Amino acid sequence: MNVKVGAHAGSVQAAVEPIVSRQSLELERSNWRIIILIGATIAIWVGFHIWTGVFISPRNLSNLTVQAAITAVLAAGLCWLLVAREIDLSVGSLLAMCGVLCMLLMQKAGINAYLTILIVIFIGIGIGLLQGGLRVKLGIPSFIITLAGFSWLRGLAYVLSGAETLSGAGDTFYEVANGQFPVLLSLAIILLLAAAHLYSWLRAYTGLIGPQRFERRPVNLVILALSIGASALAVWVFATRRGIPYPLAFLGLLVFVMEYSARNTRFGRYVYAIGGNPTSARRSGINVDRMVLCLFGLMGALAAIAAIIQTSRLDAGPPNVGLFVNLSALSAAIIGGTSLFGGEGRVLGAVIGALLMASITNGLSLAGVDTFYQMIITGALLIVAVSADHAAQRRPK
Amino acid sequence: MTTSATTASAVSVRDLRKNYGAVEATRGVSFDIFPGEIVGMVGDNGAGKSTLTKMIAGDVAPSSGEIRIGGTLVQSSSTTWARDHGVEMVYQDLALCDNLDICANIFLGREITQRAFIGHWKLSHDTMMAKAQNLLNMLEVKLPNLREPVTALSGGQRQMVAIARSVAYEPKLVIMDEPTAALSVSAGQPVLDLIRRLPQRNVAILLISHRLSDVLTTADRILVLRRGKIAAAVRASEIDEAELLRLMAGINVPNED
Repeated sequence: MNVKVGAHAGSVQAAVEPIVSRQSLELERSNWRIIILIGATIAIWVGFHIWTGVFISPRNLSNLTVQAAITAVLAAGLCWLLVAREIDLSVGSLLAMCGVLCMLLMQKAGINAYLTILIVIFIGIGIGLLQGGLRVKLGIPSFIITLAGFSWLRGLAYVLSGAETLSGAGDTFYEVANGQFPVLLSLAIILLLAAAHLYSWLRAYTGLIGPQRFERRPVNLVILALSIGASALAVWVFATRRGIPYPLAFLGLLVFVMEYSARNTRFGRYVYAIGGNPTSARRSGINVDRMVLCLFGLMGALAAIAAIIQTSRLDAGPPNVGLFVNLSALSAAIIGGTSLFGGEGRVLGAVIGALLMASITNGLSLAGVDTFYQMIITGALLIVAVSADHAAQRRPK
Repeated sequence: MTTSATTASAVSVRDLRKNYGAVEATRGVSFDIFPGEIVGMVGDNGAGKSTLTKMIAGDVAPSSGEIRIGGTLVQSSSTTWARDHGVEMVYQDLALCDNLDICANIFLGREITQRAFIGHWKLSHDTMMAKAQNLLNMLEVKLPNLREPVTALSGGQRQMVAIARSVAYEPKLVIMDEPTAALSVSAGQPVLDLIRRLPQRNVAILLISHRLSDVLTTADRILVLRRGKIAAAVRASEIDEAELLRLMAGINVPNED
């Protein structure tokens, strides 16, 4: 039996027509939000370009993505934790500890780069699960568990390193954050992704390829325009002289997998269900404790990966690195539209939030302005972003 | 409407007792509810209503006595077991996830999935949308857009979504714990109308409410609980509110049992 969605009563011929349904309204709202965020980022880029004259260049934009990647990877993990009404304050300390471990494993234990990366990721997951386990078993709020982690993990980083900075990890490890795909391969990747997006867009909204699946809405036209613009920019930045940096490729894959999961898998849906109403989620048979444990494990893995990128970029593992990165990742997630009260937020938003913040840092340093101003601007930006959200939420009611 | 004693009961409770230390919450309760029947349960605070429903829903283990769901004896108390064997709960506090859309709420915890390209299980959005729409059509519940988050709905509409969700998987028994308590009288009316339509789906309903008029107009039979015992079992058509109140309070009880 066919069910007509949104069809008017009495239309007989509608039964043969394909179902054209409306996509999730929540998705549309958050899409608009992300579009505004991208608009703001572009405005900042143009502003800095006018100011410094060198901001929008392949070289600088490529650097910018690598700078943003570390915060962005952390912000992506934090986004889901916040959506599920949890928080992790220890990511900066875990990052430093994992960075120290990277150098120790390679220099003192003589383990090769690949195995080191694997071990450090597993240690990150282990510490994430430990914190998640404490949170779930003891019922102590994650704020407190990870505040403790903020302290003991940093202490561990100093103890393990003897408060010294080990540097020089070798070429293979150095390539992780500083290497790129070859230009031709980068071009192929960009064109392939652009074609795939165009194909699915045409398929969903036009009826040119197979039956039309969704209603035509203005937001989808904007998304298409942005996608074409981003592809053109990506070709210019990553397929002319230097290819796609490895950290950016990882970040792109991460965003894709997490965004896809949020909409199309049970796990992703349950993250949001727990944030929306934990009691209801539990009554529906969702194992909330196990979900929270998994999210902390994921956060641990992402913190370890951020540490690997960071250590490779610096080619050193200082124990005092990332003192404020937990707060800047948190800011990125919130600027990106993640709610501190759970249930709301998207990984793509959090990552663009991180890009926006990195753009300001990068632009100010190009302009020769003290980085202290960047902190002031971040503070102002947080308030502007959140109050704009509040205003937007009040309007439709 | 025909509930003969020969049909298998949806839920059967025999001599159910629960002690919390020296306190006896229920002191030997026995009753049956048959498919297609709405049984109201009334009683003062502390009469044992919530203990009784929690035991049936598998949330609390009884001290003694037995519960059968569709003829199957409950061996150990577990909410998952009860749910898997066809016991659903509808709570007073509109227990939905506000940030999820109507369709997602109806299928929460029981999403329909299909194998997708890398062998992973992908949510079947189209199937769930069609099924949700179908269900709501059958229940004659009119809601705007199923992709709308439930925050946009009124309290009454949300409770109807919660009820639709409870009958989506053809349960044997739906326990409704004060389904209209959070709603105004006018908002509660469509919810009660919906509850009255449910027996057509051959489901048994246990309706707990403090609003006696709701119970009188909605239920077929009413169980009056007092101090952990069933003080009276009456047909809703044969009693009025004043009489029901007297039974609850234990004044001038017509001594039958």
